[in-house]
Amino acid sequence: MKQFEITEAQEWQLFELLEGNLSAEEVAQLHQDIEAQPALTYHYNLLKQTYASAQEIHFPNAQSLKKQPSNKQVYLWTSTAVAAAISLLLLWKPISTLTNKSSIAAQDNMGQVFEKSKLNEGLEMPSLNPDKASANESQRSTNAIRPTNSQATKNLARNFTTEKIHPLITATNDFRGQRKDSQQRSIVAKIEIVKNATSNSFAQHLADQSSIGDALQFNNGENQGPQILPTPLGQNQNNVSGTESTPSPKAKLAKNPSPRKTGFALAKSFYNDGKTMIQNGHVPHVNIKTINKSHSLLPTIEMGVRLENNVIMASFNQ
Amino acid sequence: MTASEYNKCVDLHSHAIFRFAMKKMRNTDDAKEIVQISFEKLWMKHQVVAFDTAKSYLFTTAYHSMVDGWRSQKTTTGLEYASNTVEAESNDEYTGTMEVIEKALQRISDIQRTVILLRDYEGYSYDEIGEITGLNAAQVKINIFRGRQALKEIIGNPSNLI
Repeated sequence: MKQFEITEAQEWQLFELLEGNLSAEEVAQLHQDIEAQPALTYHYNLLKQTYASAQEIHFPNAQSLKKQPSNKQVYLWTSTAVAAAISLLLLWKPISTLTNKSSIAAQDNMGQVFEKSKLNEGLEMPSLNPDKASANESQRSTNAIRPTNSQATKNLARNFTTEKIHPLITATNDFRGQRKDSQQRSIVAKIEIVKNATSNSFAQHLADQSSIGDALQFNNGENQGPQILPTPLGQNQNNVSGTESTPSPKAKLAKNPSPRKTGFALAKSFYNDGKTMIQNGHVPHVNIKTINKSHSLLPTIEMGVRLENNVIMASFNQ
Repeated sequence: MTASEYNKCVDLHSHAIFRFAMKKMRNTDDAKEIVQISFEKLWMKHQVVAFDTAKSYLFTTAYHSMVDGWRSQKTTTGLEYASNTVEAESNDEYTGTMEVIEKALQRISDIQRTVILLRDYEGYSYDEIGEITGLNAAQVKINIFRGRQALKEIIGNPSNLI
C-alpha cells in the first residue's frame, strides 16, 4: 500500500474535488492527474466510496405526529365565545338605555291617561306632587330628549300657579303662552290689590294725621274709581289744633257719613291738608297737576304735595 | 407556522430525522423517541419557528437530544452500553460497500459522523451544519475531511471492522 501513498495536500485536492469546491479548470487538471497517477486513482476511488447515499428509511409513526384540525376548531370556538361575551358587555349599556327609554315612553303614555282621568276628577297630577319630585328627577333627563307633548304641557300649564312645575316644561312655547296670559291677569289683580292697599294705607295715613280732617273712602267696585268722602271743615280745623284725638276714619264713616264736597271745597281741603302735611314734614312736596271740574268727585288720584314759591299745592290725580 | 404547515413538516422531515437518528443512535426505539421529542418541541414553538427554518430546527433539536441522550447513556453503565452496541453491530450483515460504510460510520467520532451524515444524507452546506452542531464552517469542513479519511482507511482495510 505504500506505493499508493499520497500527500495530505493531494488528499485535500481529492476531497475538494469530491465536495465540488473546485473550479472547472481545477477539476479538469485534477482529473488528468488522477488518470496519470495510480496512487491518486486508488485514493480517489476509496474516498469516493465514503460518500454515502441516502437510504429509504421511513418513520412509521409519522401520522401520529400530526395535529388534528379539530383541536384548532375548539381553539377558534373558544376565542369566538370570548369575543361574543366582550361584545355583549360593550353593547349592554346602549341596550339598557333603549330599554329605559321605551319604558319611560310607556310610563308617559300611562301618565297621560292618568292625567286626563285625574283632571276630569279635579285631582292633582301625580307627576306634579312635590312628594314625588325625587322620583321624577330621574326621568327628567330623559324627558328633555323626548318630543314635547303639547297636550300634556297644556295640562301642566293649566295649573302652574298652584303647583311646582319643572323648568324644562315651563320653557316650552305652549306653557309660555299660557303663563303670559296668566301673568297679565295676575298683574291686573296685583294692580287692584295695590290700589286697595295704597288707598287703604293712604286713608290710614291721613287718618293718623291729626291735622287732616278729610276721611277718604274709596269705592273700588264696578270700575268707578275711588270716591273721597271728606269731613266737614270745622272738624278739620279742630283736628289741626290737635287738642282732641280723632277716631279712625272708618269709624267716622260708619257713624257719620259726610256729604260730598264741591270742587271748591275739595280744592280748599286739599290745599289745607297738603299744607299741613308739608309743615309737619310728612311729605316733602305736593304737586297738583289737574283738578277735576266735575264738582262732584275726583275720579283719579295722584299722591304728592309740593311747595312751589312758598305756595303749598296738593293734587290727587291718576 | 400554522398547524397545516406543521403537518406538512411532518410529511417532509420526519423520515429524514428518523434516518439521521437511526444512523447515530443505532437503535430504532431511541430514534423514534428522538423524532417524537423533536416534533413535540417544534409544535410547542410552532408560533415562533417559521416553516422555512423548521427543518434546521428539527435537526438541531434532534442532534442535541441525541447528544444529551448519549451523555446520559454513558453515565449509566458502560458495560450495558457496550453490550447493546455489540448486539446492534452483530445483527448487521456485511453485504456490500454500503454496509461497510454503515459499520465504519460507527467507528469514527460522533461529531465526524454527524457532519458526514448531515452532509451526505441531507445535503446541508457547511454553514447549515455549523448551525446545527454549533461549529463554524471551517470546523465542519475539517471534521468532514477527517471523518472521510477515517472511513477511507476502514473501507480500504475491512479487517479494521473486525
